[in-house]
Amino acid sequence: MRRKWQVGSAAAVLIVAGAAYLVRDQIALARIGTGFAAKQTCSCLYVSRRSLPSCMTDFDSATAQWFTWHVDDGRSVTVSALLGLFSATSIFDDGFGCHVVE
Amino acid sequence: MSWNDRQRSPVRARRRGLTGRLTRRGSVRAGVGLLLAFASALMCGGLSVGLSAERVRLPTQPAGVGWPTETWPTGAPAPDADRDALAGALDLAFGGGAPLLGETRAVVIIEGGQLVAERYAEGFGPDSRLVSWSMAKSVTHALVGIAELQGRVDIDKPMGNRRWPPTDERSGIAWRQWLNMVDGQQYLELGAPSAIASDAAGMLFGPGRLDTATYAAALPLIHPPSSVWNYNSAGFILVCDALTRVVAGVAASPDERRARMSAWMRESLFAPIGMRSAQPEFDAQGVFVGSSFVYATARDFARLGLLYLRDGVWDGRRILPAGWADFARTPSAAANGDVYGAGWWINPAEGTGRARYSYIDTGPTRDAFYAEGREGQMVLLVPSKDLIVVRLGRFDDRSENWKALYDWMGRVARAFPTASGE
Repeated sequence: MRRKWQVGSAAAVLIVAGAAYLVRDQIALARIGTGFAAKQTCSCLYVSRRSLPSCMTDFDSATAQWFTWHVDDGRSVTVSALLGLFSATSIFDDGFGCHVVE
Repeated sequence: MSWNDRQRSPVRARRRGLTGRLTRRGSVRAGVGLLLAFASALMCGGLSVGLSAERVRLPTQPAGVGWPTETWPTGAPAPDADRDALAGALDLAFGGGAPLLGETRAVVIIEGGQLVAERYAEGFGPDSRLVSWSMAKSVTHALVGIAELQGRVDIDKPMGNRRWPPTDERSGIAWRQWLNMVDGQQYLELGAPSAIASDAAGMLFGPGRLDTATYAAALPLIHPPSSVWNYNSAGFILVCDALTRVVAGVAASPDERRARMSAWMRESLFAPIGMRSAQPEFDAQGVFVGSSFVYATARDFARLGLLYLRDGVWDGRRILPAGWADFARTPSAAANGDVYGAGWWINPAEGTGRARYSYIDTGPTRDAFYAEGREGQMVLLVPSKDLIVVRLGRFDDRSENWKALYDWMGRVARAFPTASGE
């Protein structure tokens, strides 16, 4: 009985560790992805002065479905992922382009 | 002594271990596919025949051809240019007949200082400001040259960083070594197996996105400086950080820092050569992101190309130090440094520094050098033909896409004859 408990505990630890590892990757990817999408969309809209539909063609559709864009017309772009747990905002300053602020 | 004489070395032909192993786009979790563009950035594949790049004398502006400070003078391709081949290449790029070229948005071709061909995709035009990605490094190279000419920096002296103590080995690395990408820093971009592993993605969009220079400065050394070439965008961020502080001095805020830097960039480089559309971008600390972010029209990227093709002289005024363009197109002394000069790629028939290396076959004279950026941005300079080819667009950063672009660039260049006098 004790041995079963030990094996079960070890398995649980492994599963938790594996899940944590996978989540870590997802977190890192979500952070990079939101930063990338926010910055590039901001520059596309306000520096290149392309339309939002045109800018969205720079992202593949498989990617876009995992992100949510919020465009503050004329000033900023916020992109979130994973149900809003992760987000990035890029702002436009006239004469200096866009940069990520959070 | 020219800039180049101090570091000239023969192109090494022997193969050495590469600093970054190339892998193609690997498996990724759904929803982050585009991020793997970082993981497989700037690839090329193909064959090579073992001849080194040549350094042809840079051509002067032809008599009677005006400088494009205001507008580009226009003309027809040289009489012995293959116009059918040129038209065919343009049709191929814009007509959808070459899927591997992805989306070509702008092509501008300058021969003999004149605009001889130009085409844009629907929705884009001469006024469209498009992203440089890593072609920004060529802008940064020009800016350091200007600072050198102004006596603000000495590229053979240590560049330093306020985050490093003087005893830190990185403090001793010279500007030149950073520009040649032989700094020895531990940095992975080309061949990164995933976006997570890519320092470029981490620095620009991940943990480093609010302070790119701090991210870059934290990277340790893994090679003695000058011993190994490794593509390093972080190094160019550190160059920009140092240059910003040289130019902007002690600024009270990031906004003030970028304002001073931006004004100097426009006054020293963009205005003199008519790059009015140029929009450099800065991080939240006010540091110019000179590894990756300059937006400009295709015509303005061609102006930067012309500045280098004219050896740094513009309409009688020296903008860059004498020999600075040669510095850009000469390999470093590093054993695998044969594919890169300083801020510009060079074009040896066989390149040991880059996995799946591919050569742009511009014709019998192997003298081309070029600025290159993610997703298929390129400014190709061919001195022997007095030719500039700008291509802006978008494709996935797969080796086969880059090979297709290199082939297309070669096809365009071969349509033009060697310039008279060469």
